[in-house]
Amino acid sequence: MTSTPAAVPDASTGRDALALLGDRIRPVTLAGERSLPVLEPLRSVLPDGGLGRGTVVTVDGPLARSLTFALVAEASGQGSWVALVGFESIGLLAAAELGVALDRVVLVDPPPGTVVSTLAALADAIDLLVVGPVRIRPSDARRLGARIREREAVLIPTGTWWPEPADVVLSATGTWVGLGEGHGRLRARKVRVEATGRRRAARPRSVDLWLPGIDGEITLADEAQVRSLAERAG
Amino acid sequence: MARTTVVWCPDWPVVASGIDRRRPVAVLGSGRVIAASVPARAEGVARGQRRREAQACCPDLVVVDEDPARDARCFEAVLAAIETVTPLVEILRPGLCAFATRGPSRYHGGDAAMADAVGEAIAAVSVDGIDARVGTADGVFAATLAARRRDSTARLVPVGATPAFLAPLPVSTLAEPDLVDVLERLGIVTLGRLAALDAVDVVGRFGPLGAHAHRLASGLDPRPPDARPIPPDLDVSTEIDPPAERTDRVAFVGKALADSLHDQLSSRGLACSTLAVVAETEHGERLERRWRHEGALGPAAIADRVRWQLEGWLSGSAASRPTGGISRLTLVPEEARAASGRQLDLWGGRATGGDRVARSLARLQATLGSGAVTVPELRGGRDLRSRVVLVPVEAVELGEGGAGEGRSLEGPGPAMGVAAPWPGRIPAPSPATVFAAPVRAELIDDQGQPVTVDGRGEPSAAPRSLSVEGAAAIEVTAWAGPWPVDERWWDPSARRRQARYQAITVDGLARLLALESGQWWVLAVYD
Repeated sequence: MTSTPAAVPDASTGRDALALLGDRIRPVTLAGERSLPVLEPLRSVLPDGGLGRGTVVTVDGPLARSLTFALVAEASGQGSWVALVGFESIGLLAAAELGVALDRVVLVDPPPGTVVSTLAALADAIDLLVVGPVRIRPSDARRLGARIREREAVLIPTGTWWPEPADVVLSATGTWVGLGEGHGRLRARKVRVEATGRRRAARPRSVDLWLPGIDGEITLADEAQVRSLAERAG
Repeated sequence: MARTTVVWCPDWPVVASGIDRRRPVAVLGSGRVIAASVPARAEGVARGQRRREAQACCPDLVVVDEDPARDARCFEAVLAAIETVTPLVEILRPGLCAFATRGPSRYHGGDAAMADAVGEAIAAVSVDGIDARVGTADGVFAATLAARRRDSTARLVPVGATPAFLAPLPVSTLAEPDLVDVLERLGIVTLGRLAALDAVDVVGRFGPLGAHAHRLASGLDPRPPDARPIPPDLDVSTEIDPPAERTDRVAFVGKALADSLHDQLSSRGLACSTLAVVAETEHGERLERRWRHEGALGPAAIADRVRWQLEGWLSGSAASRPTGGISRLTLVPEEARAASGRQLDLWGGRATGGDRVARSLARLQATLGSGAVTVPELRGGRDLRSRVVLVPVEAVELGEGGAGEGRSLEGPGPAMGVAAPWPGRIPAPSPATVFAAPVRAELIDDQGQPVTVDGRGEPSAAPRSLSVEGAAAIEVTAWAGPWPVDERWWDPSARRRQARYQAITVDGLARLLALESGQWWVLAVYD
């Protein structure tokens, strides 16, 4: 009778066991990798294809509001709350049409001087903080940025007022299709979204979108389609 | 199984309101009838009706708003009367209290004699004959049901007969609407049928709620046998110096005590289900009352009960009022159950659910003031501004599972008219900026004259340039219109006639313009 060799683990099963253990104890996602989803056509302009938690994404250009709605639409549809802070005269019907779930939207109108504390409080519970044109000091902005990172929210200042370098800078310009000289109506809008930023987002990127398209959807725009639509619209 | 006696005063909020019960009276809470007097019920007033419905049933109905503090204050007199029979009374809610039967029953020579004694004691204190019904059975649940029997002899359920007493009663007595609904659809319509099921199967299908219901239906103690005893050092107590005679001052202290009690219990994973409120006065009197709750008492519920109790003591009749101010207030958790509160993730993962958001928004709302935090709601309409309404966040319920359903103030389902066609509304895509106050503008034709639209909707000329708020005119490259709208012509105050244009200027911006009473306005910007 000999003793069974199985009692002594050989090197390969030991390594397997270690690898398995390594898999088990590794966090499923690293904090920096966690990001909120965006609509498919916008993925190519954002680092990691989404809105990174803890980052600041500024949106400006003449179509900043529509682009902002498009940016938060997918995440709100998946249950993230969106706070719109400091906006006057905002057209939420457009937000609903661009896919934002209005039952996940809250509007906050902070009195002057309370913007920073309001945003800090909101960051506790709400994922997406969209901020209209407000005035804050650079020191407050740095503190707010740190708070956003800590709470893993996303701060989206619209306009050019954010005094600190933002992680991602988006801007949108566009032209309308469908309106002629005395006839037609606004039907679709072709929008060019340009993105820069810092670190991984530093390389300039751009994408052409229908925001919205003729069927109300947000899709990638290709040139031939633009031309044919333009001709049809006269 | 503890034999228990329940004293039930029907329509207690009506009795406490102090209005003659021979008149039709209804007590309203949150806009709905929560109690009605016998004459009102005879006219068709029922619980859950709205004020209008109740008044339609009975035009001379006297309507009173609910006031739990008033209910508790008036009930204190009844409790004082019962205390002449037995010292340990637990209040379930104002109008309903329970005590253990064994001692007083022996003293008075049987359950029936004791019930008579209780009835006489209450009759002695009440001025206009409070209707108090005494039910005795095994356990609070059965005793409460027994007290509701019409026939006073049937209110005494003999020892051991409780399961037989409960068996023919409908499951709807369980007061768990969701569970009852499922049970009824499964054909389990009486408590007897529920009790006949195997307890293990019921737990497997319905979880802890089912187990609780099964124990109640079987006439068993609803508390599971392994209910944890409370460590004795959890009482919270505070000195009040100088002694307070006014309810609001003591209640303020009570609020802080309630919070600290709840914190202590929840840090041990417990929640209070029976609470004793003990007050000592500067003259050495000791007042004590027990409040019992079917579920677990939260901090606000504890604070409410403390306040009601203090109202009862300090604002009661001269006979029951303490002779001095209250110098010490103690809260004793007498029974607890495992807290089923929400546990956050180990890594602080955030719940996307509404609870956390609702809490946070309520806090924010409290700091920023009313109207600063709003949620949007879609409505039907032609005008862009009327199609989204902003509702203050305190007026909506942002609960778990999203606010989508319960959000409408009018009741369940989407708000009115969203799906209706609304001919004449501006078609999608909608503008992202809709001015709350439209901006003055000037739409000018080739000759430099303002564009006008006549009564038939014909424009005077094609627009050439647009000037917003007196700024330099910019060229209009594309436009469409006029799209006339003539709304509410039957109502002189709300009537509106507009001719609307969509226009794109040379800088690429699209705007929605309107001509109303000879003045051009920018209603919205497509930005």
